[in-house]
Amino acid sequence: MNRWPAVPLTVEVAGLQLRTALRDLGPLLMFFFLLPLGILFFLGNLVGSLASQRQILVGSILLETALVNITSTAEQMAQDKQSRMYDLWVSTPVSPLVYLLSISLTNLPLTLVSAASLLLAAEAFFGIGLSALALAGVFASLLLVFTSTLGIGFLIGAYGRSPRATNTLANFAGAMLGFFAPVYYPVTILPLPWRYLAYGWPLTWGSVLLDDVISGTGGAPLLPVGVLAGFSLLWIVWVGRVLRWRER
Amino acid sequence: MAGSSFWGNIASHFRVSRTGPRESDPGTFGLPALPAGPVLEVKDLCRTYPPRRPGEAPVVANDHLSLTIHPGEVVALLGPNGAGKSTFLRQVAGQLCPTRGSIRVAGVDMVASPREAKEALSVIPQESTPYGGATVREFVRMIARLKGVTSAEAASTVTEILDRLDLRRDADAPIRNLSGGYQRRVLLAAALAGRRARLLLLDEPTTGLDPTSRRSVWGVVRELRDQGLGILLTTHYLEEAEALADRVVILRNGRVLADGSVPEVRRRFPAGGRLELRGLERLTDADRKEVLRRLQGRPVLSQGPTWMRLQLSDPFAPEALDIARSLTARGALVTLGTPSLEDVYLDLVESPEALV
Ligand SMILES: Nc1ncnc2c1ncn2[C@@H]1O[C@H](COP(=O)(O)OP(=O)(O)OP(=O)(O)O)[C@@H](O)[C@H]1O
Ligand SMILES: [Mg+2]
Repeated sequence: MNRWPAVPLTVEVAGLQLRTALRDLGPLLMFFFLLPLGILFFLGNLVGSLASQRQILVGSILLETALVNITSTAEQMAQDKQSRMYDLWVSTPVSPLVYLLSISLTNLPLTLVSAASLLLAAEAFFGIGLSALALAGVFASLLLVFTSTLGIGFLIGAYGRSPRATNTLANFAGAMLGFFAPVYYPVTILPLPWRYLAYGWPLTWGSVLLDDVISGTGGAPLLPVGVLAGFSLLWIVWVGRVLRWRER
Repeated sequence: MAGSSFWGNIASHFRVSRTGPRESDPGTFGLPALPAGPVLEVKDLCRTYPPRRPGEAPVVANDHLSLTIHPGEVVALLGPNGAGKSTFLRQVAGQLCPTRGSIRVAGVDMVASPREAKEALSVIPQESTPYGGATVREFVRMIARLKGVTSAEAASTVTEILDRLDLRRDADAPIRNLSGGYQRRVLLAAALAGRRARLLLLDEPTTGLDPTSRRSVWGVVRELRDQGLGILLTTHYLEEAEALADRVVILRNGRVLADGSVPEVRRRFPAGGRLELRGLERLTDADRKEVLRRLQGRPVLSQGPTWMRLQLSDPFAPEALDIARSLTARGALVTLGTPSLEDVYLDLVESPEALV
């Protein structure tokens, strides 16, 4: 028996989907650039202090990374179920992980470019400059945020009863993320019971991590890295082991 | 707590197994030597859906269905809307868990080892549409890769398939710019992309195609059958089943009403023949009386002012031929023959449950 890793396969499929997505530039520009940059300017000018502006930058980058990962994965799945392409995938001898990763990886390059544009804008308009090391740290953290939110969209997409239910749920999750997750403000300003709730959500830890990296304060952010890695592992185990993608 | 098998299992999700033929493999269409035995063996398959509304009974979509398909055999699954055809196909394709029963694809158990079983099949889901933004070539290549065609083989395999399905001209056009019929053809191309497929599952592959495209799909199906694939298709076009299928299976309410070759199913019909008379207006009154006398006692299926259709137990019995001859001599136009598949189908699915 001759086996070969499906990683190149996953990357190839993601590349193909990215190429397809790039043919439709309008929504991409809006989703990846206009919206996050707009929020950065709007909120960044509302608050005065540099520390707050830094938190707004962290929030914009995070939300963009996580939102895209969650909503577009769920929406893609809803669409694939509608067109029966999901059934076609299920009938191929690949793991659901290949499907999930190929959808998510499609968004990753755009997410990183978008984060870079946010960092540039923050430097130009708010004077938030970053050392090369901090920049590397930001992108490494983003990858971790990306993997730690990997399965949420898939969960919504896999268990959504209909394309409409899936899309509604994905948008709801996105709105919850935007309004209630402590990404634009530090988690420490939340009153206690809420704070505990917030710590159960990967983005909170992403926010803690990114703020640490960008401000350059504190030592090695082991705790947030550990928690985010734990979430990442959870999704991989869940999609790879627990999920049966055959309909019950 | 998790042992090495746990990690081995996780790692295995990043691998695609690649068994079977090697470099000398002639490719998708020139299939390597087929293993003996049926490509599909379904036994006592049952599938129940939850009730449509609370308080109602669960929907029994497949009720103890058994079906065996051998290499080089085309089986058409027929039946009215909601008969359970797609439910059957979706279970065989590994998309839906059976409630009960067993499914073996090329000898591999679909429930116990879905990934191995899926390597041996290709499917076109009902009413599916390929990714609109991708080009034809990109889409077919993607599916080919998912089915284990290596990166190196993919380009030539895809070109070969596109040529064969007459898609070469549109190979680099986005799929959404193609007509609906051509999009179906793209799906068929993708279904052919598996290099070790033994079983093709086509859920209404020609719905919405023009007659020419439909015939070209038939041509492909026949070619694949001749190469030894087993093919299970559903259709609402009875002439399609008649033209393609070695066997037809007629379902209603999840149960098999008839199963056999087209002639067998026709013969199974209680009265094996029909006599059709036209041009009755040309007969003299005396002749017409004589005609009616000779036909007395035979069930009339339908009639109009100048024609009638009757049931005969055996249209080729000497007595039937004799009647036909004498009617022709009197100036009527007579057609004797077995009912078409459509006649049998309608008689079967429209008959009261108790009679079947
Ligand atoms: N996902 C589902 N949940 C609940 N009931 C379902 C589901 N899918 C199918 N059914 C029911 O099962 C029965 C068989 O449906 P199926 O789609 O298999 O029929 P079909 O023979 O393919 O019909 P058609 O010719 O219209 O495609 C129908 O009564 C249908 O309502
Ligand atoms: Mg159907």
